[in-house]
Amino acid sequence: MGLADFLFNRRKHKNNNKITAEELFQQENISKKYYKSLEKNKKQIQELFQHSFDFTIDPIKLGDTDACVCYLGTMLSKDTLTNKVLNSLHPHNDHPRHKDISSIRDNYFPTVSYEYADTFHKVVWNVLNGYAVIMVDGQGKALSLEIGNVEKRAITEPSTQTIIRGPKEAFTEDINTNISLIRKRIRNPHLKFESFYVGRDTKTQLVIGYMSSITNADILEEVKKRIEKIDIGGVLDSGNIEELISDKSFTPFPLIFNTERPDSICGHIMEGKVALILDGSPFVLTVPSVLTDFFESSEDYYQPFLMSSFIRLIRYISFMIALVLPSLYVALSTFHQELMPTQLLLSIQAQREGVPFPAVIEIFVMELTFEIMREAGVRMPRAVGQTVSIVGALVIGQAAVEAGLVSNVLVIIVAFTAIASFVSPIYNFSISTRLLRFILILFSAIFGLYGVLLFLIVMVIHLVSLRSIGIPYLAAVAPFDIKEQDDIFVRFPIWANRKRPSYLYPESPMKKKGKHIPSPPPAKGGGK
Amino acid sequence: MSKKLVENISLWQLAVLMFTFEIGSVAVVGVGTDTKQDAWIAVGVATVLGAGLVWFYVYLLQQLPGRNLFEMITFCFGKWLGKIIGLLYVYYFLYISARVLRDFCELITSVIFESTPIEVISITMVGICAYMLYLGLEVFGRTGEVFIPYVFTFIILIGLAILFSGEFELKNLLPILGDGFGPILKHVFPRLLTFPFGELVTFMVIIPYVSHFAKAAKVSVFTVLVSGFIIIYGTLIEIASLGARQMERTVFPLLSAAREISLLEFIERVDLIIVFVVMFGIITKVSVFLYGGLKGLEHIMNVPYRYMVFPISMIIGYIAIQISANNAEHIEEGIRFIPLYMHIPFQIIFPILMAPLLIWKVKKQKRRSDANGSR
Repeated sequence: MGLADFLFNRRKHKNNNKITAEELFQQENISKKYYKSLEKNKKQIQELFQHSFDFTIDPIKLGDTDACVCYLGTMLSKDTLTNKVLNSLHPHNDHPRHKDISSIRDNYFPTVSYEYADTFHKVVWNVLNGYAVIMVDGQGKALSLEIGNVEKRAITEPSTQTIIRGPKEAFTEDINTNISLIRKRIRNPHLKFESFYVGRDTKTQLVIGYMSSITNADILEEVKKRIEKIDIGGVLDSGNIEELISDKSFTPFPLIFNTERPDSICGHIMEGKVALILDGSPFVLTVPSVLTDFFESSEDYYQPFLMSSFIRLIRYISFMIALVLPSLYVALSTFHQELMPTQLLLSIQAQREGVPFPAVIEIFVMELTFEIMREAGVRMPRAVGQTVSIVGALVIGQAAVEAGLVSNVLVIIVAFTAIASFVSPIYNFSISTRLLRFILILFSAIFGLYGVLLFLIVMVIHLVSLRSIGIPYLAAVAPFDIKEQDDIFVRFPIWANRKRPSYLYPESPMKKKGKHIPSPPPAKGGGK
Repeated sequence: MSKKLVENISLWQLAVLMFTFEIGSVAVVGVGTDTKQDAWIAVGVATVLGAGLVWFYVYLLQQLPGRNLFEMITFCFGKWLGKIIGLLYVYYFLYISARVLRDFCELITSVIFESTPIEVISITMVGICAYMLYLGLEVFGRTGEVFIPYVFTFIILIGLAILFSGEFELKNLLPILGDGFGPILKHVFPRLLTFPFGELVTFMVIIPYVSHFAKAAKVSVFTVLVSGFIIIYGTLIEIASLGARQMERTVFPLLSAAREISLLEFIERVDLIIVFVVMFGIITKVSVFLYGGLKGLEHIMNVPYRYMVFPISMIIGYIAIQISANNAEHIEEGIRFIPLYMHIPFQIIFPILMAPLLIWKVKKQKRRSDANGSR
């Protein structure tokens, strides 16, 4: 692809110089050397883990050789540990005397998954990851046994992106569960998962998932480059990653798509995007993202195409409503009364008669009130939720109108705007409209409709200048691509949608070969 | 990515920019009002001539692929004479850009914000153009793509709405060619040919950056024909709804025509909405001229144009207010002096002068390189 070369300055894949977790320890002044003497190793690790109550060293004897098992009691299930490891090492067990570490493994733990740790860093890393590490005196390496089984949340229904029809599973905080949720849906050896570790202190696992047969190599390269550049103390959620790798921070629009729905992520991966899965976060990111992604729900593909096209258009309209309705009200009622039909104007003015504030103050106060209620609604304990909604609806809504502080129309507008802003399937995106709405109200209060348009044009200029991993944010709309319009504002039937988005420069551009149009079987011999 | 010096726009983006450029200020001030009910015929004739003119411009560019107007001027006239002529072009582009801006400022201050100082409109508008151009030609092209559906739909809808409002009087178009072809031709040259079609000379700065340069000629000519068609459509609406006499007197004909719209007793006073639609056309037009001027300065002074975007655009904002004392003077200048002293030299005389020189020099260069190649 000529243009892709041009965009990404194609560079052949270097031997990836990603920092492994073991190297990270080096930066923290932990010695690397694993000694042959058990005593030295023990001392070393005890010093490192002192003041941690859950760190345990169980001394054992293998015949007459000294050995020990060390582990973090909170990172593994003690039952499994006892059953699998400690029991078989028990001195009462009659066993031949093995000294060599590999024969120990062969004989005692033939069924447990393991790793050899030949550096002290690896030992520490394995202990931190919930392994039980067996160190034997006189051996050049330790044996790490994977125990695992830390408590984790079960797979539940998505809490932020609910749908009516379609799979009800959501990602959890456990990265392996999340990857399995994706693997389950795409049974393909070309589905790759590459692991990185980010965060100097937290050393969190970050996995990128992609289809090697589809994803553009340059995009992949760019994503990896950005991940390798991440240099930060700790990451706790994929939101941190989002901010660290996006092309531009000074924008109200999210440049990276996030979701907790595995089916949606799979859809993106199949289009040629790269998924970023962070350990400990149920929100998985995909890059590159374009604006129109944020208006697509995975349910669109499970419903009849006419209906989902309609719903998609509704989303775009409600985005515009959420953005401009309050400012339109300010502009029309303050500057351009002649644009309103006379009857409507009269009734609005009649309602506003007793209101002591100008329209812009009125709407500012109400929008602010709503934002406060929304924030309170998210943060407050569940138990008091009812109270707040009653207070909010009755006191702020009804009583404010009755007291003559705000007009009825205004309450309708604020409420409608609020509801419209919830239509966006991705929560991130609706936040951006919240912020822009306030600026827009200010503009309309100063310049009227002219100000609204002024702001919208600046917004569009800003939008078209954005990029996500080098791909224009408004791709398929601007730069316009007529061939992509089958899945942007409306969705064509699935059999008609044969191409992957060309703005992602996929390695294999077609989803399928033939064009099969479902139709009834040909009539046989003149009907009945 | 951001480091690269040359930015590209697609053919579609070029077409979009040309289209909005063409109908931009035409939608504000109207064209051919002197030819009364035959204005649409005059526009038609001008469109055909204009398409020829644009083809000529692109033909010139094709002689030296990848070089814009200013580089071509230097190529033809040498370094110093080239700089002087280039500076004249810069002056022309910036001046016209200020004029277009003034057109819009007058529209806003006389129709919507009667008590708002004209400076406010001028500065905000030119600020948008500056921001857009600062972000680059690619952003400019894409912004055009986003807005073209609205511009196009609204222009079409005005006609339909007038038709449904029952204000569309075909009688107003009669008599066709009542005064013969004479007045039409007189009006077409110089006025109609130079505005809006000849102004496309500015695109000689943009067309070299089109990614499929080979097809640029075809696309440009086609775009000019389409936009000419839309201008005919707009003129027809104006004549049919206002009548020739009223159209002659009104300052903003399309706006006055839109005032006639009244649908369902709900959609009224849409003229305001028209104002906001032409706003994008004006932004495009100002930006194209501004870009032309900036590119010229970049070529002359060897400084990236991004450094000059904001200062120059603020100057434009100021000039737009200073060029004339009031709207009447502004329009009179536009009718009497501008076509004669600015449009004709820069749109027609200079390019025609340049053509033989360019062809001769290109041939000479080719011969020389051929000779080098054979050696």
